[in-house]
Amino acid sequence: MINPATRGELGPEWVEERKKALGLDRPMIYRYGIWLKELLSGNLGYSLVGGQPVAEQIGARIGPTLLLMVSAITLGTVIGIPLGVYSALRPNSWTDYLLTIFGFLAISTPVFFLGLASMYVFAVNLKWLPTSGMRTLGIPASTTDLIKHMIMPVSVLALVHIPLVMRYTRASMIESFRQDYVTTARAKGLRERAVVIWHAFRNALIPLITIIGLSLPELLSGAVITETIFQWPGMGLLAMRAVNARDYPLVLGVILVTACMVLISNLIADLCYAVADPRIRYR
Amino acid sequence: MSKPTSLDRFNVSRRDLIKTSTGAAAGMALAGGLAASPSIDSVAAQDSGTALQLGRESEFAAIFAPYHISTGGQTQVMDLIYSRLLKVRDDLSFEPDLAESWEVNEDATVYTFQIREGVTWTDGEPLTIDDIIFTYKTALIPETAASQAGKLRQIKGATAFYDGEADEIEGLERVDDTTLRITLEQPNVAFLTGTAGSSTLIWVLPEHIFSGVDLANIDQAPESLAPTVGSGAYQFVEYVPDQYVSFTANPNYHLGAPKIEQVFLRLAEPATQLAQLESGEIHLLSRMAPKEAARLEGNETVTVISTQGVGVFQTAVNNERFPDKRLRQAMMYGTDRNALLEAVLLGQGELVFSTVIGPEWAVFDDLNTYDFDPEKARALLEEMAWDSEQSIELTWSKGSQTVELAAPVFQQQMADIGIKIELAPFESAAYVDKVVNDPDFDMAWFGGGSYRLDPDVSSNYYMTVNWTPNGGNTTHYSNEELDQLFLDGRATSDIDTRREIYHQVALILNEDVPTSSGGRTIRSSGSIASCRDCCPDRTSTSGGTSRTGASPNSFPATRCRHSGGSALISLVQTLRSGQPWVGTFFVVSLYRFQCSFSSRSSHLPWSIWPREIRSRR
Repeated sequence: MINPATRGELGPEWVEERKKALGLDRPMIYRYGIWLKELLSGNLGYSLVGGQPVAEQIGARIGPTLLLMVSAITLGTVIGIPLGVYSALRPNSWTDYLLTIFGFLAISTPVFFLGLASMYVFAVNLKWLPTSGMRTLGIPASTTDLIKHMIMPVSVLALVHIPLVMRYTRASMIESFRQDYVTTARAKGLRERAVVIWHAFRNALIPLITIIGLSLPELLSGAVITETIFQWPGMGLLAMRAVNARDYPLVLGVILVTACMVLISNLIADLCYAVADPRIRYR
Repeated sequence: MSKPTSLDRFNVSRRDLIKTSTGAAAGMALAGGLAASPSIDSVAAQDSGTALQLGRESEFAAIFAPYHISTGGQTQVMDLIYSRLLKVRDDLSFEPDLAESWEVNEDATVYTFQIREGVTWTDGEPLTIDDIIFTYKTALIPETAASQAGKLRQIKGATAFYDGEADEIEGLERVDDTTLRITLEQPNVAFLTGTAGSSTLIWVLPEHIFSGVDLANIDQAPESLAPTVGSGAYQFVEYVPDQYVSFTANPNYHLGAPKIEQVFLRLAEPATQLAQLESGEIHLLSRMAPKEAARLEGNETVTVISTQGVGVFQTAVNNERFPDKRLRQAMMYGTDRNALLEAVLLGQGELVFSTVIGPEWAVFDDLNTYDFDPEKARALLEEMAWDSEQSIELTWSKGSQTVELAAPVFQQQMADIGIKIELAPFESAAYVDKVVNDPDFDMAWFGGGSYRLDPDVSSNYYMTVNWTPNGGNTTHYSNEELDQLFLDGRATSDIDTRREIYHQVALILNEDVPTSSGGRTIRSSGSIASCRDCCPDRTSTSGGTSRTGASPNSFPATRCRHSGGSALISLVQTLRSGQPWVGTFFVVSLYRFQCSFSSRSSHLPWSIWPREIRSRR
């Protein structure tokens, strides 16, 4: 910390010297080169607030974020797909309408409201679950305790994910049912279950892969609002703090990780297309 | 522990005056800031053993060097892990901490402290007078950029030392192994009042740990990031970003081992904190928006206690960028502070017109009240040829719900008179950097302070010598006449003379509006679970300091029954001596907001500064 009064006395030579020491006298492209070089060796720079290495701060958040997001997306997908298939099998029935209404409600309720409302119901009123954080302070950490702390944030995130998966599955399945190969499959006397799973659903996978692929970056970028409400020490919360503090190196680091994750998810999704649909092949 | 309520009390002797008045001030701070009443109903929502859970806002500045403490959270950490020369009782008198006793000479220039023997650091090393001298000297080394430096330059020879012209500080003497003598350049009857603001009584650092530290980067030194060697009732364990700061009891604490094993400062968003409080996961929340406090009034498990605040909400315009006082005056006239007070603090505050707001003998009613008058504001701006295209960036530390509510209203009102305001909230640590450590801001909004303790408290914020980062003069306001008045005010303990001097001070601050004072919080609240058996029969002593620095000790059992202020004290006592409540928990939520509209700070025009102080302990 430089005392401004002292800094005034230090004079322009000192400022020049500092600039040189920090490499600020070089052209921007050169500095970018240095940054890239450092990046390749794993150095993401240092936080402006507190001065800790950015890589270290991000590293500390990856575990909790992955834990939260993998659970939430898995749960959302595992529940969303069967619901979608179920809806598609009985389009326009009352169960379909009910699920549709549920979907609209879940997807249009703001996450912070869902989070706070569930906190009030399950933590404050019923006292079944802890409000926030990753562990109960004052007692040794345990898996049961961790799971208790995960239930609410994971459920809230899954609740938002379910309608997305469900609606896409439904639309895509209905589309499949209209295809000639489904009629053919039924005509050759296959059981309905086989028709649904092996013929209709398999062909309905493409849009689903797209949707799930799009949510994969969240695995590392975290969920800003949910993490903030539940005080979950993940990337979302870190990103939020970095932005609030105008901590540019940290913001840069978080964005870099997120951007990489987007590219990787796209690649994974593309590869999955080929697996799901043999007609799509890369030569 | 008599309450200094009458002026007679002040005439006893100068020394008494000093002790009582400063004590009174601090006590007010305590009573004002902390409130809570203990309740013993155990809150069984969480099975947390003997751990006390305190709530803290998540925008937590993790800077643990005593020289750069500017937020309630940091103060709380410091008070738990380090000790100071003296603490302040709940009746506002001082009580011994590291100093067993102290004396002030007739003309208030020589302060002599008898240092307690046998105190050890948590690593077993003895805490000696050398540690104390080291701590004070370090504060006066320019590289440290200590916030106490300005105020400590009252010490004889400190300026020469600061400027590098002397190796020792003449007025900071080690008389013998247990006697410390501080000699001031000029008399100051209010020298010790700095306790409340931690500016003259710094938390003492271990020399054997900190002697080699690079002072320019003391905040980032490993010794500061994890200050495990301390001398407080608790020892620092760890800080987990966005989660908690944890502490464990110091069995060798010089005032007696605390009975509660662990203390956690839990960090969370305000909305989450309320849920934590209601579910019993945290036991004390010391700052709460008035709206939330009102909602919790009827809650069975939470007791809300309000006490009178001692601070003021203020806006501070950077004087170096906007030197014309008419801008600040226009802002004062252009702000409907009464409406803001009503809307934001739900009327639980009062407007003030300067930061000289007490004690009782220093309250003046002939100040310009800057009644809402947009026409006058526009006229002032026209007169100074204000460019309505120029925008002013308004900065505050994120997390203060009060400021967050008020800022957009202020922005709108300023737009009406032709001042363009841009809102720029910053995360706590970044805010401190921008406004205090390395000033680079147009206008800031903050609250707090302990102005009611003594009118001299204001000197820290307006004297030229106290420009940030060497003091609290955020706005870099400078007025020779005012500087001299503050010096004169310290030099005498005669109440009538002081009243006259501070009347002048108030008039200048009122006219120049160096910071625009908004309002003062009239009360703060805390809350506690149902209060049966709330006052165990005991008069143990223990101390602590509130956010404003007061530390209670030995309060009679009867007092805690209904007095809000004592609950906090009891809580602190529990922390320190702990007997009665180990294993049972009170839920205390305490909120204190102060909104004072005073005018002071370099140019802050209106000010509403509702300020919430949440200190929970």
